[in-house]
Amino acid sequence: MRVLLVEDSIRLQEAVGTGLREFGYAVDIAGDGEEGLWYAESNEYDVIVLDLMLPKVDGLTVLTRLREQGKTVHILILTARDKVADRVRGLQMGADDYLIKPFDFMELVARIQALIRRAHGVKSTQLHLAHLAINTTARLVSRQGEPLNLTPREYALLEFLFLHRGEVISRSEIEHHIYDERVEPMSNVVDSAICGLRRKIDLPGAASLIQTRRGMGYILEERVP
Amino acid sequence: MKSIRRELTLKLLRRLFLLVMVLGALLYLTMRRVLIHDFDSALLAKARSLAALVQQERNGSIELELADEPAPRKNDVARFEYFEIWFDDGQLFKRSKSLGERELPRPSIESSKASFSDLTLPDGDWGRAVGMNFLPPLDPDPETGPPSANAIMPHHPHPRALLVLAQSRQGLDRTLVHLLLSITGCGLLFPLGIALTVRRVVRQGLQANDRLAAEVALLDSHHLEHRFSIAACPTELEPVCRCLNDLLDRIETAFVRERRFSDDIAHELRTPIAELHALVEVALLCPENKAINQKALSESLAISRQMERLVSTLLALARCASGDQPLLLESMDLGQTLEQIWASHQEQAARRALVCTWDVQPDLRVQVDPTMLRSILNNLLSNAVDHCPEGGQLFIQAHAGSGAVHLILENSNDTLREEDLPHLFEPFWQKDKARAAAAHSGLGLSLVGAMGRLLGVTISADLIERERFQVRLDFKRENA
Repeated sequence: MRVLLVEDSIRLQEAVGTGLREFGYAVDIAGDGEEGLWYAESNEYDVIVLDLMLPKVDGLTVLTRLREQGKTVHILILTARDKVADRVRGLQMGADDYLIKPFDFMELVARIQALIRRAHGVKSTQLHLAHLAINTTARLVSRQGEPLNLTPREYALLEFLFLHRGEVISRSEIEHHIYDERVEPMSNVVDSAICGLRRKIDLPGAASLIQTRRGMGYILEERVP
Repeated sequence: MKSIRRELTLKLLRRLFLLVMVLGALLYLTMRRVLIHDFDSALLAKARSLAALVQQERNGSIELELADEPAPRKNDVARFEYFEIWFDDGQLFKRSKSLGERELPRPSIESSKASFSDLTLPDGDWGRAVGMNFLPPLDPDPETGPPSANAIMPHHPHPRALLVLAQSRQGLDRTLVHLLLSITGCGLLFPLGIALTVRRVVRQGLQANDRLAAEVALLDSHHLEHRFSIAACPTELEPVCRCLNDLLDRIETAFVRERRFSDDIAHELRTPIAELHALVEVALLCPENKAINQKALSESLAISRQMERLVSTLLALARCASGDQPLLLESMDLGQTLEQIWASHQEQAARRALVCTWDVQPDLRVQVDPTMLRSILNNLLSNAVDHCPEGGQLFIQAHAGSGAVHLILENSNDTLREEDLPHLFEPFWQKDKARAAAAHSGLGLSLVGAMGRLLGVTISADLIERERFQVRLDFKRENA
C-alpha cells in the first residue's frame, strides 16, 4: 500500500515515514503543499496524510484541488488545529478522516488501515482464502492456522493481492502500490517478490494461490481442482 | 426591565389624556360662554322689545302696550318669563302676572348698559335676569309722526324706567349639562381609542427595532462577517446600526486575531509534542534498530531544548505582562553590548552573505536591566539576520539625541508589507502562515515589546519604501 505524507516538519516526516515503512507501507514524503500536490497528481496513492499548515500551498487548498481534479484517493488530515470548526471544514472539503497532533502513532496506522479497507469495500479485518488467513490489524498471516513470517514488503504485497482477489493485477500496479519513490524497482523485482511470497504461503505440492496471467499480471484466487 | 414600548405608550397616553382634558375643559368653557352669551343676547332682545312697548302718552301717563299675557304654563320654559318695571323714583310701574305678588331682585344700574345676573326665580327654578335702564318713548302723534328719540313731553315729567326681565335657564343648563357630559364622555373614550391606536402605532413604529433585535440575536462567532444595512434601517436606528457595524468590525478583528493566535499556539506547542511522540513510538517499534533509536534520542533532546526555549520565552512574556519580572537597572554601554551580541550572529550573517554597516557612536550609556537589554538585542539581531534576504544589507546605527539614545536596526526586506506592521509585536505572529521556520516561534518581538515597555524604551517598526525594514528603539539617556 502506498501512502503520501505531506508534512513540513522534518522530524515528523522522518518518524512517521520510518514507522509506516516498518508497517510495510510504501511512503512518499512531500515537505510543502506544492510538492504534495505534484506527488498526488503524478502517482496513485491508497492514502494521503496531509498537514494543513504547509508552506507554499496550504493543506486545504491541496485537498480542494485534488477533489476538483476528481481524485478519489482517501485523505487523512493530520494537523495541530483542534477546533471543531476546523475539523468540520476539513471533512466538508473532502477529507476522509481528521487526526489532531499530537497523535498516537498506532492510531494513525489504524486509521490508515481503516481508510484502505474502506477504499476496497472491506469491513472485516480478517481475510480468508483457502488455507490462508490475514489479520490486517495485527498484520499477521497464517497458513492452516500456523503463523507465517513475512517481511513487511511481502505482507504488503499479499494484502494488496488479497484486497484485489479475483482481479488480475498488473506488474506496474504492484510497483505503484508496493514500492515508493526511494525504490527503483528493477524489471524482475515484482516477479521475485511474487516468487518469494508463493514459497511462503502455498502448501507444498499444491497449486499456488497466486497465478500468473502471461502478459497481464497476477491473480490471487483459490484454484478449484 | 424597562420596555421602550411600554414607556412610550404610557408617556404618550399620559400626555394625550392631559391634553384631552385641558382641551375638553377649554371647549366646555368656551361653549358655555357662547351659550350664555346667546342666552343673554336673546334675553336682552326680549327686554328691549318689552321696553319698546312702554310709552309715554300725550297726557304724560306711561303705558305698557302689552297684549294680554297668557297664563304661564308649567314646563313652558320659553314663555316662563318674569319682568318688573320700576321708575327711577322707586315706584313700581309694572310686574308680570307670572310674578303674582312676588318681586324680582332690583339691581342698581348706573349706566345705560344692561346688567345680567343669575337668580332664583319665584317658582324656585334657577334663572337669569337682565336689568336695563330706559327712557319710555313718547307716543307718536298721528299728525306729526313719531317723535325723535330724545323728545320729551313739555310740562310733563319724563321719568327713566328700570326693567328687569328674568327667565328660567333650565334649557340653558340642560344644554350645558349635555355639553359637559358629551365632552367628559368624549374625554374618557378618546384616551381609550388613543390607547389602542398608540399601542398599535408604537408597536408598528418599533417593528424596525424588533427586526434589528432579531438580526442581532442571529449573530454568533460564525456570522461575524454580517453587517447591518444602513440603507434599509430607519433614520433613528442609523446610528445604532453604524455603532453595531463598528463593533462587529472590532469583534471580527479580535476573533481573527484570537483564531490566528490559537492556531499558532497550537502549532507551536502541539507540533514538537507530536514529533516527540512519533519519534519515541517509532523507536519503540524497532527496538533493535540502533540508528532509529539514536536518531530518536538526539531529536528528542533537540525538541526538549526547543520547548524549553519556548516555555522560557512564554514565562518571561507572562512575567513582563503581569509586572512580576524584576528589574535590576545598571548603567550599560549600548555600543559594547551590541558588539557582544552581534558576535553570536556574525557567523550566520556571513553564511547568508549579508553586508552589515555599523554606525555606532561610542560611550552611549543607558540605564537598563542587562539581561533584558541582551535579550532585546539578541532577538532583534537574530530576526534581522534570519529574515534579511540572502546577500541583503544590515544597518546598525546608534547615536545620542536630546535626552535619548536612539538605536536603529535596519535590514533589507522582501516579504513584509505595510499591513503586517500592526501584527509584528503580537505573540506567535509570523509572516509565513505555514510557520516553517523552526528557529523562530513568533515570540521574539512580543518579548522585545514587553521588555521595552518595562524598561521605558520606546520601540517602533517601520517599512522604508517597502525595501527596508527598520526597528527603532529610543532609550532614555542615563543622565537625562
